[in-house]
Amino acid sequence: MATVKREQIAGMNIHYLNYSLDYFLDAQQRIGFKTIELWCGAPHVWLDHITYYDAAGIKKKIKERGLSAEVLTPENCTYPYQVGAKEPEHVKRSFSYFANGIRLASELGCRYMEVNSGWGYWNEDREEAFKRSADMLSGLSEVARENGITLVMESLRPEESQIVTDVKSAKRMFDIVGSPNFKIMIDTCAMSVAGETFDDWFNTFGENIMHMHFIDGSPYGHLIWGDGSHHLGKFIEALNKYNYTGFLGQEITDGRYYEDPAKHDLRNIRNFERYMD
Amino acid sequence: MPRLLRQQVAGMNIHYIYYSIDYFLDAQQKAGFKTVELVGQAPHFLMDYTGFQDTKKVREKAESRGLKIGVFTPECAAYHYLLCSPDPGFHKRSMEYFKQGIKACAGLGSKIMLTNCIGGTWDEEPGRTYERAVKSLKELGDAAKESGVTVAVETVRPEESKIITTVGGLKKLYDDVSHPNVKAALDTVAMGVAGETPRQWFETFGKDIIHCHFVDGRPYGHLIWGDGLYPLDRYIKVLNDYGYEGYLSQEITDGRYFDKPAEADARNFKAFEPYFVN
Repeated sequence: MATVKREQIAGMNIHYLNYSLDYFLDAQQRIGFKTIELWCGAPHVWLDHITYYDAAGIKKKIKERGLSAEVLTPENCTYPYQVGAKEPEHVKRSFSYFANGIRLASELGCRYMEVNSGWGYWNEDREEAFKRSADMLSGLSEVARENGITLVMESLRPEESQIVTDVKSAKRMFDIVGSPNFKIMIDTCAMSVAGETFDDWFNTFGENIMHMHFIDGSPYGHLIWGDGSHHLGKFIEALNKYNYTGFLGQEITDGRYYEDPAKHDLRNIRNFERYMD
Repeated sequence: MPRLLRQQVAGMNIHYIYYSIDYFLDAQQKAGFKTVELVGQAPHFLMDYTGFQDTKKVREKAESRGLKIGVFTPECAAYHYLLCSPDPGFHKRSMEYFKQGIKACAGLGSKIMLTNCIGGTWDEEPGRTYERAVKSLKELGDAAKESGVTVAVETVRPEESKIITTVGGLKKLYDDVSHPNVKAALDTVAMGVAGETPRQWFETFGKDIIHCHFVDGRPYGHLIWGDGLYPLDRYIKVLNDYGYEGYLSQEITDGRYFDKPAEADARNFKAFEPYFVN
């Protein structure tokens, strides 16, 4: 019987970008989440290449509501930073940004920080971009080791990147970086868009898969469960088959949820509850 | 026949995020643009609340291709810098960022910096967001005056902000700010989404419209002309009727153009060709 634990479901705050951090945390508590994956973006968490604010205050707010932040996700698609940066100043800023993210993750007591490969330029040799990305991820893995954090890398959709967009390129990056603090996560949207399955990822990475963005899609979209075309029960069955007991980040990004995110989060967790004991 | 000057139509770099600034500028020159509105966004122009990259080099890059940077827009919707943020720290750093933007604008040789009133949260009373917008724009107006720049404020879609989404809302703000260095910008998408027309805007603001994001829409979009449903000739005629001589920036944001932005821009510039008198 397909089974998931409540603590595995990690609520996220991307679709709360029109609301305050307090509003998001109150909603998570009320709806029944125990775990959150904290996205660092306005207006909730300030993280940049110079510094970050206010780890102690944020930690207190999370704890007061009986929640636990297990994963930190720096905004790494729309902000002015990327792992595949090319110009020296952009590389420097991007590295500092992600390194600050690792430090913030550590201060908040998270286990993991999410990363992707970055994307590079469309009019350059893919290998060049791949190499820069590998260099930065290696350096960040070292910072992660110093701070007791494990980086988990997701793949991107081919519209977003030419570096890591499928299980094959993820494996290549994983092998090149080769650090105990550099692991893999599945994003069900990128996985499905690439035409891949959980079998493909688990057969390649096994226990090195330590986190997931586990959302509905058709296959594009980062949707609330029920709004896409995937079968929640079959997806959970696949997790059970590979004894995956890690977190399932609810990375909901579709604009249709921004007006009333809490309403949709409640729908989402009700669908997960059908598979809880 | 509606008419325009070639240099009024300004290319923009938003849809070039997967390409370098050199690629962007080459593409503008090739498409026929004489003017660009540069957005302070990575990887083209790096800035933050403490400073910005060398403007002289960027200006030279543009000028060597026969391009003038007519307007500078620090990215003001997608990053953590939001003018109306209720969090004191977010707001303070955003204000510092926009003040850096004003200096960068002057350094790039532009007289106009564009912004909007995004950043208020939905769980805050909109009146308080509005008060913050007025206060912030007065402060930016003073900074702009010192640098010989004028801040142009656009409206946005109701999905982006609870305030300043209509021509009436912007007029009230304009009157409450009442600063010679804070003026109005017409964004044709926000305009269309609000159910408004260019004529209404010019009737309301007249010469105080100092800038336009003049793109096709359905009305949502930010599209290449021809991909939306707006009547280009009628809209240009309204500009002519009111003697508008400012820029018509091509703020193309739709993801469909990110793969081949240069192709899209060449097609877009061509749509304006019949109206050029020079």
